[in-house]
Amino acid sequence: MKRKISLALCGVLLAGILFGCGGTDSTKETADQPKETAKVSEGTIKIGYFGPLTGGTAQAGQAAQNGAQIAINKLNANGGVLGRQLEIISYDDKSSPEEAVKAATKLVQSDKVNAIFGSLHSANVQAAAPVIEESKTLCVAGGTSPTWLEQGYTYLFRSISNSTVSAKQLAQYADAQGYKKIAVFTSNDEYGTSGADGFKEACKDYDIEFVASETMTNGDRDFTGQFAKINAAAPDAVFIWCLGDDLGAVTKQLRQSGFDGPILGSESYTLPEILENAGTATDNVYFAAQYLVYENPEDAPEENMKEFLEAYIEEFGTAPMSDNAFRAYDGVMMIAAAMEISGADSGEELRDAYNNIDGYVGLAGMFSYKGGHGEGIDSMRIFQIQDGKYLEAK
Amino acid sequence: MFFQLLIGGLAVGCIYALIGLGYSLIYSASGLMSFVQGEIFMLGAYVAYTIYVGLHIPFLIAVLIAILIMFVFGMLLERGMISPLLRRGSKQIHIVLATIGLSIFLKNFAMIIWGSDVKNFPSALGEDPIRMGNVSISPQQIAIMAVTFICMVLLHFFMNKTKLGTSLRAAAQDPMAAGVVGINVSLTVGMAWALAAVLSAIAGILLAPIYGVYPKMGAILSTKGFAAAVLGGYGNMYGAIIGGLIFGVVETMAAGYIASSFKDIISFVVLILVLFIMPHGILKVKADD
Repeated sequence: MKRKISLALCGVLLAGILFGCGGTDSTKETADQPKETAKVSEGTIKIGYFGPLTGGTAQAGQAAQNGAQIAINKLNANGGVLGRQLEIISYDDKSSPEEAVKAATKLVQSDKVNAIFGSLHSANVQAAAPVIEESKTLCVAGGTSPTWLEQGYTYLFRSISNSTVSAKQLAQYADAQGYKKIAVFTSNDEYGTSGADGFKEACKDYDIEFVASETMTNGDRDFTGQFAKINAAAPDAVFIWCLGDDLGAVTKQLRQSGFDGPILGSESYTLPEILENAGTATDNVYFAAQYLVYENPEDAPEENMKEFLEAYIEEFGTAPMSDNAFRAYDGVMMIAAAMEISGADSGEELRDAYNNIDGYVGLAGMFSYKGGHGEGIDSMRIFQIQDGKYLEAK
Repeated sequence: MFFQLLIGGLAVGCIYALIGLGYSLIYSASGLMSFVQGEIFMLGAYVAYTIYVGLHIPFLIAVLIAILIMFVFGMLLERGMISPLLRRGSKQIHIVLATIGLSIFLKNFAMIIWGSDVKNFPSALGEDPIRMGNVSISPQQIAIMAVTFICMVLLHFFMNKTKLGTSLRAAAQDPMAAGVVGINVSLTVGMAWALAAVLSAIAGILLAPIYGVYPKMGAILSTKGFAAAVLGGYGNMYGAIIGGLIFGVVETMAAGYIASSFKDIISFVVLILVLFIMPHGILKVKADD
């Protein structure tokens, strides 16, 4: 009898723990997300978002979420999509692949969203890809590493050029400027490694020699050893591919170590905090990008960018802190366009409609996904930083 | 290239030394291990940033105020968290866990209060490096080495020549005997934690112009500072300094001569090797034998 009672008690305890934990988990997540609506109503189209809302790249993640929100506001103001209003359901992937998988799983399995924008980090997209692909949910992401679109996933798309395009533009620019010896300095993660590989690959067409190849770990701040080696190799230019939160320190220290020559970098150089942290060290930096992060809508050359910036400033009080706001905006707008064209709000039909997008003009330029295996745009401009200002180079 | 690497290594090593000093100081005074020195380093940088950049108070005064605040923080930490835990019969491991918990709390606290973007801490000494032939030193690196040296000298003087410092050493060696002689043991333990906090905060203020100020800046330093203290002999102040400098130089030389990917690995490999050969670290802790 005693044994039966204790077994029963154990069973109750176990059930209580399982249900209790399950309950606390979801309520914790709901409490965490400022933008999540309290009640998910029937009939609304749910756009899922997962990205780094906390951690070193929180600025970018927050900007992306805001960009998506601006798109949703605009679509809702114009009557919604397929006659239905849209809402955003967002989770923080904490800049970590493990959290990205959890967030994506929640979005596709418990929230059952119609489509997703996320994440910004290629490592996180890569990690979440299997669960997204299996659930047949359309996902547009902002990470630039080519790798996650080379694995055969059919439900993933990108709303910006990948780093190979940047690499090609930069390689072309380097050759045009006559740089013969280039040193490479990258972060040792997926982003940095694929950036370096892409650039080296693109430079094969030109007469360029790689005189040094150094790496750093995200978060590290002492590069004395690496820069000593780079300076000893006397390069004509240095190619830097690191995450935004490291770039300020990297650029500043490279200049302080004695290198005054041109730096070829990524669109992460558009982050305003880098100009603040590195100051005059950013002179002579060149990078390929689709767009700049404008402080003032008047500075934007294109009408749709002006409109976006004005709406963003009105809603959030400041200009976007990162170009990821544009990636998210373009992504969500194209998802909506695909829904309108196909009449489908999710699944295979929506994905096929997205694949047929051809000639859509977004903030990044003209997108065409036909035959692109998820890539939609491959043209970029080269920008230069001089005296804290961005200019188009060439 | 060798001298460039040496100077860079010594500068970085000084920072490891300052943080390692904190660890050894706490261990020698209270026999406890603290894993929050990296976050105190980060907090010191943020406090100095808020006073210097936020309130526009002149640099030296801002630094002094920041150091004072961190001294009080260290004291409060010991009085408010460590002593109560000890009184309730906590073991070593509980204190370790408590400090780890505090470090996580401080990191997230900083993220909420100041945001997670990298804040710019302008150098009071200017940014232009001084070039001597092939070697360039930034004024900040000179400041790091000078300030660390001054701290070491002051600490040595304090510990050996002042009444408070001597009573701290006495309490560390034998708390009961020290209490019998009339030394306020709990005050001296509080002082040790407060001093360790000050050292970490000074390191933070020295590095802020180079690193920028951001919540995760203390994380890897926490580990390396601890390793530096172990390398030099855990609990021995001079050992922490030696350990820190060796760590910094080995790491930078490895990045320069072997490969940059080896940078983080090599230091810890050296640590493991030293512990195999000399488990007590380089300088033995006198009290333990």
